[in-house]
Amino acid sequence: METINSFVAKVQRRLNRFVAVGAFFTAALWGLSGMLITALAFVTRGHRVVLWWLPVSVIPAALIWLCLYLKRHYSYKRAASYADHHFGFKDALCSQLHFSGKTGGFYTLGRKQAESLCNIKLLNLIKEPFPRTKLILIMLLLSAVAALTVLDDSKTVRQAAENQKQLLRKTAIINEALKKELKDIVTRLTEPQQQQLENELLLQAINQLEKHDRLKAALKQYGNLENRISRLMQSSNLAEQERMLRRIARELMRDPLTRQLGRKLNSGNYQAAAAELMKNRLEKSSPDSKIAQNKFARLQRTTEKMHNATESDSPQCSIKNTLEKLKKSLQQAAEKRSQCSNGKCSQKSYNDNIDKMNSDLQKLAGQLGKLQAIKNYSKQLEKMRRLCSMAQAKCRQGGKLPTSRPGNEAGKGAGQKAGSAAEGNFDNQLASSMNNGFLTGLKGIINEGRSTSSIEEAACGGGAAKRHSRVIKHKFKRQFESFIKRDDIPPQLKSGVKEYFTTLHQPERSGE
Amino acid sequence: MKTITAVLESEKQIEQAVSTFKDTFNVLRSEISRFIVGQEDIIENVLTAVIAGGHVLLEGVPGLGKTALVNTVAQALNLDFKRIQFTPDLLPADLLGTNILLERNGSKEFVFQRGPVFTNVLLADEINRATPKTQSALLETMQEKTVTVANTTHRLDLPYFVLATQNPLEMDGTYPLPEAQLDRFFFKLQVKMPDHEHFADILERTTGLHTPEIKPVTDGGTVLEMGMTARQVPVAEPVRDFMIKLVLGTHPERETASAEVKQFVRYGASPRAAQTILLGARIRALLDGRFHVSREDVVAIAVPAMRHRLILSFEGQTEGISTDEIITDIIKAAR
Repeated sequence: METINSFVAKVQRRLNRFVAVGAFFTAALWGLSGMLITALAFVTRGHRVVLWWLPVSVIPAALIWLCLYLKRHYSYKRAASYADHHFGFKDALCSQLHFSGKTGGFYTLGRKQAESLCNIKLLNLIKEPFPRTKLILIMLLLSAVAALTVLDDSKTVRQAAENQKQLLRKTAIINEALKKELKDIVTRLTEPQQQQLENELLLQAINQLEKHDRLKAALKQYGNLENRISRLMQSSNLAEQERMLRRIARELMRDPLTRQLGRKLNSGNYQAAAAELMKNRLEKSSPDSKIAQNKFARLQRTTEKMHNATESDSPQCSIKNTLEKLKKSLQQAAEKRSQCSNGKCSQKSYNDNIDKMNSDLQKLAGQLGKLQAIKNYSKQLEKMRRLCSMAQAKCRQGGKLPTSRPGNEAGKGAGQKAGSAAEGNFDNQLASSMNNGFLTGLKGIINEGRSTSSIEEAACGGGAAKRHSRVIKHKFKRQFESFIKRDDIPPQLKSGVKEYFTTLHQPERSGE
Repeated sequence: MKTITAVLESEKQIEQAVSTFKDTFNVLRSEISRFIVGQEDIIENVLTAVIAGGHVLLEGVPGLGKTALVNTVAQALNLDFKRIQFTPDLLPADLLGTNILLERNGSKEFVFQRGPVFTNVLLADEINRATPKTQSALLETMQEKTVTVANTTHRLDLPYFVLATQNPLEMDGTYPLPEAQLDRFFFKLQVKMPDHEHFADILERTTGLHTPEIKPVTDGGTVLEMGMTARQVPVAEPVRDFMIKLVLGTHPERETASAEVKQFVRYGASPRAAQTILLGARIRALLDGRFHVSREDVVAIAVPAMRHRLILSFEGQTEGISTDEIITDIIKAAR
C-alpha cells in the first residue's frame, strides 16, 4: 500500500505544482489587466501614471491566485482518480484507496496488481501544457503598462495643477485680506455697533476660511461668507428705514422752519439730524414764556410733519412708533399748557409732561443715532460682502494670478483693468476697487432710479447675442451705458466708468 | 457436473479461479465465434449474461443468426437446449407442462408432464408473438427458476437461461413484452447486420460443404462456478456510487435528472438494472484480469443492461429518441 500511497502523493504534488503555476499565470494576467486599467485611468484623464498605484493590483491578483489554487488543487483522492484516468489504471488506485485496511483474497491481489502499475517513471507523463497564450498576453500587457508609465502629465493637467497652486496662493491672500478687513471694521466700530455687527459670528466665519486648491470649494467658501453677510445686512432693514427718512426729509424741507432738519436727514447724516432734533428739547419753564411757546410750536410742527410722512409705513417701524408717542406727548403737553393757562393745572404736572415729551424726543434722536451707526457698519459690511464677491471673481480668473503691467494703471475712479493687478497687494486692490465707478454706480436706491426697461433702450448691441458670455457682456454694457446717461451721476464718475470699460475691452480688440 | 466452490479465500484459489474463468470464457467465445461471425460483442454479452445467471432478449431482423447464436451457445456450454416458437395460440401449459391423468398399477393419478421450459437453455423464439398470458408464464421460471402447476412447485435444473428473440419490424399481431417481463431480462442485445468482411465470412462458412461443428467446451457446473467467482470481485465505493448515479439518472422524477430524461423518459430503470450492471461489470473486470471493478466496466454494461428498462414518454417515442442515446448522455454527464 505504501507504494500506492507514495505514488499518489507524488502525483498529487506534481499536479498541485502545475495548478499553482497555472493559477499564477492566470492571476498574473488579471493583475496586469488591473494594472493596465489603472494606468489607463490615469492616462485617459491626462495624468502621469502614479507608480505606487500599480502594485495595488497585486493584492487582488494574489487573492485570485489563492482562490484558483484552492479551487483547482488536487486532493489525495482526486489525484488518485486523475492518475487512474491519465494512466489508464481503470480505477485501480481509487479502488485500492477505498479498500485500504482490507486484506486477503481479492483485496490483496488487487493491491499487488495496483502496486505493479505504480511506476515512478510514469510521473513524467503528467505534463502541464505550456501556457503560451497566457504568456504572450502577459508580455503584451506588461509592455502596454510599461509604455503607459513612461507618459508624462498632459498639458491640460499640468495647467490644472499650476492653476491649483495659484488658487491655493490666491485663496491664502484673499483670506488674509478678508481677515484684515474685518479687523479694520471691528476696530473702527464703537462697542454697540460691534454688538450689532455680530462680529463674533463673522470673526468665526472668517477665521474658518481655508486655503483651497479647488475652484469650486473656494467659490463655495466665499459665496457662503457673502450670503452670511447679506443676511446680516438684510436683518437690519436699513433700506426701508432710509426710504422713510428721505420721505420725512422731503416733507420737512418744504417748511423753512424745519428745513435745516430736513436737509440733514436728506443728506443721510442721521447723527447730525439727531443733534438738530435735540435742539427742540423743551426746558422746564413757565408755559406762558414766549421762547417756550415758540419751541413748543416748532417741535409740534416738526413732529406733525414727520408723523404725516410716515403714515404709509409699516406700524412695526420703530421710528414711526416713537413719532406717534411723541405726537401724543405733545398733544397732552398742549392740553396741559392750556389748562395751566386757565389755572386748572399745576406747573408740576406740566413739567412732568415736558419730561415725557423730552424723553420721547431723546428716544427718537437715539433711534436716528442708531440708524447712523447701522448705516456706518452696513457700509463696512457691504464692503466686506463686495470683498467676497471680488474674491470669487479673482478665483475665477483662469487660474492665473494677475501680473503687473506697467502703463496700464487704472484711471481715477475706474476699476483696475481686468488682469492687471499684482499678486501680493490684493487687499489694496480691493480697497481701491471699493471706490471705483463700478461699485459706486451699483449703489442705487431701490425703486427710485430709472426702470430696468430703459436699459434696453441703450444704443449698444442692438441684436440678440447667441453666446451666453456675449449676452452677459451686452447686458452689462447696456446697464453701464444707461448708467452714465443718468443725470444724477456726477460727470467725474461717468468718465471713470467709461474709462473702466475702455481698458476692459482693450485686450479683446487687440485679440480680434 | 463440477461441485461449485462457495467462497474463494486464498489468493492461490482466487488466481486459479480467475484464470479458469478467463480461459473458459475465451474458449467459449472462440468456439462460438467459429460459427457466429461478426457478432463478437453480442457473443461476449450473451456469455456474460449466462455466467451471471441472467436471461437475454435478442432483438434483430430475421436472418441475422439470433437462433443460431443461441443454439451455438447451448452446444458450446454442453447444456440441454429447447426451442419454443412463440405463436399467438401458444398457451402457458404448452410451455410449463401440465398434469395428465395416468393409470398406473390399476389406479389413476395425475402426473405432471414437464413442458419445454424444463431445460438449461430455452430459446423463446419470437417471444412477442405470444399473448401476454403465455409470456407471463415465463416470469416465474426466469426469476425463481421454478414452475408451479396445480399448487406444486417444480424446480428447474440449473443453470437455466432464457434466450428470447424478437423481431422489431413485424409488429402486426405481436404483443409487446410487459415491463415486468422486460425487467427480468439481464440484457437486451440488438443484433446488427454484419459488415462487408464478416458477411463474406458468413457466406463462406454457411454455404460450403463443411459447416463448422460446435464442440462442447464447458458444462453447466463450470458456468455456475464462474458466476460465483465473479460475484466475489470487490467494488470500490466511488465505482458503486457512479453506478447508482447512472441508474438514478434515468428517473425523470428526480431533481438531479437531466432535462432530456425529464422530457423523454416516463419511467427509469429499476434496482434490478443496478444489480445487472454490477454483476456484468464484475465479470468484465475478471475478463480484463483485474481484481476490482472499474467505471469502464460499468459503462460497458450500462447500455445493454438498461436500454429495455427505460420506458420512453409519448414525446420521446414521437421524437424517435432511443433509450441508448439517453443512457449514453447520462453516462457522459456522470463521468
